[in-house]
Amino acid sequence: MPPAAPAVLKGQVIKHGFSCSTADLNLDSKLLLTEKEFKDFFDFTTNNKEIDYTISEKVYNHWNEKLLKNNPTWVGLSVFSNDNIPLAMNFIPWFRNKNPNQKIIVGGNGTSEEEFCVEIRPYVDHVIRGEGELALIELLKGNIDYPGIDSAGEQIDDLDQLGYADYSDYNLAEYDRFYQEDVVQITGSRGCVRRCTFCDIASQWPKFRWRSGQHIFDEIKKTHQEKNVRHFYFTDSLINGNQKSYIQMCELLAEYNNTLEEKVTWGGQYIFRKKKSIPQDYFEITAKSGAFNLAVGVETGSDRVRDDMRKHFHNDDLDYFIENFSKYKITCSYLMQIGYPTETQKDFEETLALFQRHHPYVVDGTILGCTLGTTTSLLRKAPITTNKDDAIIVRDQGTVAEELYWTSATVAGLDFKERTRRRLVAQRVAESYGWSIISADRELRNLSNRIEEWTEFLNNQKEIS
Amino acid sequence: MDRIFKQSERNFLNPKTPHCHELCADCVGTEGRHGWPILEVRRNKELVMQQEIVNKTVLKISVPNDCRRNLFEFEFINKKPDDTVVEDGNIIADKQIIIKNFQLHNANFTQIERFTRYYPIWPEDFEHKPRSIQSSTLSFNGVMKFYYTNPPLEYFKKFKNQGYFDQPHIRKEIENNFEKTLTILQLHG
Repeated sequence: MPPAAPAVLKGQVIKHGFSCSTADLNLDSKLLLTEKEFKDFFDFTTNNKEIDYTISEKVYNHWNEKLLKNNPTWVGLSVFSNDNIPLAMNFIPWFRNKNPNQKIIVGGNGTSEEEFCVEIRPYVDHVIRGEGELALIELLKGNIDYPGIDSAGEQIDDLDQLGYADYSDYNLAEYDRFYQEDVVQITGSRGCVRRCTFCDIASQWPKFRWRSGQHIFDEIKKTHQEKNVRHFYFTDSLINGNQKSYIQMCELLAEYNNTLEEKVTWGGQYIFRKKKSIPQDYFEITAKSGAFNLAVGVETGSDRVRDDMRKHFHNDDLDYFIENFSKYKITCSYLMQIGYPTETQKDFEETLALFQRHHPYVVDGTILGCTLGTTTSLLRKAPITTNKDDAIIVRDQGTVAEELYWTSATVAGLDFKERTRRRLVAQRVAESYGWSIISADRELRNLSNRIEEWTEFLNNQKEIS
Repeated sequence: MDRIFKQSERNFLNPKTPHCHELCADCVGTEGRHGWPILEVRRNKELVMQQEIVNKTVLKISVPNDCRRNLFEFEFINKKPDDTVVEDGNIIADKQIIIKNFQLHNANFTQIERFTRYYPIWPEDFEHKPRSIQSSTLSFNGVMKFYYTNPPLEYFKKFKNQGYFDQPHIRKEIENNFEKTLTILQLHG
């Protein structure tokens, strides 16, 4: 799927009278390299595997040419997530060395990592932290004291003031056709109404901020009419965080879809709520608005574990939602976690039972699949690890990635090895009922790498002792 | 792969879906004049293993979930006419293979002759030569056939027309429990 950040920033920059062109360097490297080279490059960037020097040089030279093509005043690089930091730390110094006089800005979610900002600072002119739309405009105007420019950013309160995303530089046909047709991303809100214990989104966006349903609808309609794109994917942590705004958007889209032969569809992350809080026409209007493939954080089949996670819904709510999704033909996928620190064997088996119980919805096409992840990784800024008074895990000190390697302090024997076992069992059980495991190959490859690391760690421990 | 499951977890697998599993065969080989016996194992006509059976040997065969039908052929291939050593009318050494049991999902087939057929290549001077016999001892070159469909539990629940499994309380007892099914089959089959 085309990345949203460059398009969102371009929309904002153009709105304020500057010129701008964007590029998706990920896609460029995929188009440039052979399948084998790309796999090596991917392993190099995400799994720290060694790579043939000629491959990285080939990619970097290509990117260099692409970035400087329009003789820009500024080059802005968006580091999407922590996973992209190793690549950014490799490429940006290379780019700086090649172009000592080029003005460079770096931004994106990767800049939420303090260490990265410190390390990258000598190679760039400015680091924009937090939400970049307003800070970038101020930087272009020369106001480098604006919050977020080389300092902690402030959350934008009014999202309706921002420009619409501009995908005009993208050749959408070059992306994998997940929906068989062009699809673009859109942002309806930032932050989250929940404070799930495993999630660090609140460290980035402490407050939940949303656009009005009308504003979101206007962007969808404009993009549909101008770019002939009818599929939209929300980048939000949850689409239906603000019920009022959500229902307004759905009503406008349902009305618009009524006038179209080929309907607009939208998908993204979505939360199930207590069934008593759901208005009467909720599912019907959601279906008519074009809801498609909603990614729902179901997480577990155990109410007890879900309570521990502070998800605020139970299996009877889940059953109510999925039954209505089935009735109104709203498709979805489940985001699952295996081996949460308080997950006992009984809880785990309740998750296995969920795969069994919701099998009919897989068969009727309501559930398109689920993610199982690699094994539960606990982020450093997530509430579960910041609440020191009530620590429920012990990190395996000395491992390469301590987010991944930890042992439960409340469930005996729940360590990385046991979580790996449960993860594999969960996949086998889910697949036996026809569940499609999203990104299973990639996750199992990651798991294989992690097991290697873990074994090496254990061997080192033995040597030390 | 199958060993990652705890018994209670295995009950959650869809019993109607073929799944990858392991078939283990506990074999005992005895040495003849020209050495130890060799066993070839084929699955659906495809050779999956060739193994010399020296004393106690456990064969571990990975069974993929690529098809429902699993016809295993265990072929004793290297017996020569003079492998049997006879002194004073007594056999003092002989090359042969005993397949003691099969293991599927940690459950033992202890009476494998009830689930298999052995097709020996009889020596010419044998008078009684049935086409196949029920025996767990392979005394002559020839093939032992073992067949089931994947998932195995579903197959063995229907193995022969037991009638016994039609009783509601027995049906409940064996649902999803391979070991129990096999025990009942072996005791009451």
